[in-house]
Amino acid sequence: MAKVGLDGHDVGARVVARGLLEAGMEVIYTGIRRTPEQIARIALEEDVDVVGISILSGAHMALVPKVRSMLDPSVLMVVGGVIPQEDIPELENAGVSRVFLSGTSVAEIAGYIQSAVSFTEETNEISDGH
Amino acid sequence: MDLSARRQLATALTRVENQSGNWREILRACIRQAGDALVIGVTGPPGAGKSTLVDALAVHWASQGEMVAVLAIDPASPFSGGAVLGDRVRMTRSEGNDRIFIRSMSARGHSGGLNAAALDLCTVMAGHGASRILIETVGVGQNEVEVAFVADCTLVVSVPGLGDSVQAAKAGLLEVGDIYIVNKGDLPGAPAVARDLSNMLALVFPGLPGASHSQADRSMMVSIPGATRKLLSARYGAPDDPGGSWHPPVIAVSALNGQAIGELAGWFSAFESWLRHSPAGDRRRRERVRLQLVTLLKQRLFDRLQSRHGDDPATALSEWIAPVLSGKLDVHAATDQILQDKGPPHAQ
Repeated sequence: MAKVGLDGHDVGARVVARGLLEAGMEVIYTGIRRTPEQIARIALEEDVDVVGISILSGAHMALVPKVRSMLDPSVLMVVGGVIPQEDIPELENAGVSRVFLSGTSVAEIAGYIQSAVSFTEETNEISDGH
Repeated sequence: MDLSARRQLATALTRVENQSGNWREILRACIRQAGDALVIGVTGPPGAGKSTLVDALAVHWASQGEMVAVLAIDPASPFSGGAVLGDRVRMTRSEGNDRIFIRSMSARGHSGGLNAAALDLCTVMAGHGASRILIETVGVGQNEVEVAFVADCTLVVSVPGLGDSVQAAKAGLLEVGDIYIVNKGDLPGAPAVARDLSNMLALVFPGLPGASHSQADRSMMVSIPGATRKLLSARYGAPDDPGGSWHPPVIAVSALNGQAIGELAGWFSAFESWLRHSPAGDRRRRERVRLQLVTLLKQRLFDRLQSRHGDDPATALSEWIAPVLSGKLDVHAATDQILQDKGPPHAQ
């Protein structure tokens, strides 16, 4: 769960993180005002399945694709926050799996993540002799 | 550490933490490659500044050419098993440093402030070139001392404002540190906390803080029963041992502004050189292996017993619960029967 750029509004991120905890997930919270480079590095070191970006600054069209381009393609990316409807297709084109607008329930986010993350990946990786 | 080495370490840690795939193989390879890494446990109450201190120490050591790995543990939910791991929020100075690798970890139901797999993960980190490994425990209370028997060096972090001088006299956490830190040392009350801790330590350890030799002043020490003294010397050395005994120092620091971090690192070097020369170092390593074996045996034996009584851990012991509740059996008798592999009372 990451906050990117000049955006100090972290209540949403913390509420969603807590909700995902209740759904049994392990959530690494980055804290506010992280750069795309830092988020990519954290995602790498923590070997995460999903990166969630919470953004309310209006800079999502600049920052979200940048973070996406730095992540491993196998990592799922979801975005939540104040995002105009018309920006959603472009974000999805940039590789965001799902955009959650305000009013979305935490249960919906948790449900989406549970259905979208494939836990068969682990076995595939083993067979490549890594 | 370049990107691919970083990625390799990250996936190896996941594998070993989850005990999935070829994790045993990974672990064995890491044991072969591991250098002489020192494991430093950092423990203390929630909000004491453990993460900030770990951040400051990691940056300090990295600037001296060490490869530093951090394992930051936060608690897991007892209900859902999930966790919010927020230690990295306070580690921004380490972020982006080429010689530092940070990994968060959920305690996953383990209550001693550590995750059972923590030592395995340290081995993996050492196997990937880490020379200093900082384990940050879950924020602990008074009695979670486990990390002290796992790490080479235990830092106990305290802060002003947690209570009066009576707290310094209590058993548990305030007995197991190799170095005591009063963080937020710029706050009023910090010198008093440091003084209370130092006074208590002077009752137990001879001489001045640091390595003490056989002629060290013992006038402050209370008389300690032989058996306890023996256990203490096993851990901290005896004054007559080669290298002497270790008298834990108390240092007031401010992890946030870096005040006295250099001094702390100096104490750490002194401790390290004491540990390498003292027979206590060898005794600590032996004790660590013994505890690992005990932990693994407990877990495996329990798993084995449990699997004999049904695959679902939530219901495995349920047949014994009703007889205990109804007063037919007490818990000790029920445990006897489970161990003797008798069925529950109604089946006999």
